[in-house]
Amino acid sequence: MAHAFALTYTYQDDSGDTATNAIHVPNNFSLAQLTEFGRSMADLIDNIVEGLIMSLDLTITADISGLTGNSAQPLGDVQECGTFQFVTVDNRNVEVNLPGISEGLVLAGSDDIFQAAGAVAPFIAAMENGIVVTGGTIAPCDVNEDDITDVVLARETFRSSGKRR
Amino acid sequence: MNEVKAIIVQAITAAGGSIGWDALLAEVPENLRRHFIPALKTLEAEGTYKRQVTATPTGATFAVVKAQAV
Repeated sequence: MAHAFALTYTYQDDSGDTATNAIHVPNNFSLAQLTEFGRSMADLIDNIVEGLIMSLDLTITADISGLTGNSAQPLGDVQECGTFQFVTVDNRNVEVNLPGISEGLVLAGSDDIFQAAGAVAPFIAAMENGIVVTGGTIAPCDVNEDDITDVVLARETFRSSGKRR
Repeated sequence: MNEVKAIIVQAITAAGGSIGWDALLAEVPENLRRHFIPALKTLEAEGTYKRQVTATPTGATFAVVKAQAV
């Protein structure tokens, strides 16, 4: 199944209320092309709406149908989060919350996630060192594109369900 | 921690420079595992070894490899 990319615009009116809409586009364009399209489309929308266009987010989807073991387990709960706090090269904190963390990865008598577990260690390594892909390595970063260098803590936390951004 | 560092280096060398995480962890006795990650990160900081995740068409593979081989 084709998976279109989404360009999501966020608007704010004079009373401070916000709303979003999305425009989907085919997935065979580059990031630069999508940015150019999104910026041009914002120009056109700006002529139509009376609200403030606050932001444009490019949502790039990928085919994950090949995942193995990707199912909702009976004891899984998205309100139980694995909170991973990382630090960047500039000592800024980057927090990643994974909803529905497996209880089996939490050390007995504590909230600490067992970082050396075979399922956890690769995730931490990928956050710190990146993943080798065709033609290079993609390493996660903070909003300033500073490289994540180390994990500070990994702990089970509880949050209400919803977005984790 | 130095004892764990030695175990890690020996295990990686014996495996030919690249070893899976579970196999490496299994080489470290239970009573020394609290030193496992600090030892590994020290080796990584020294530039001797590196944790590497590689994307493949069917999923990601994970290994601890010699830095020279990365």
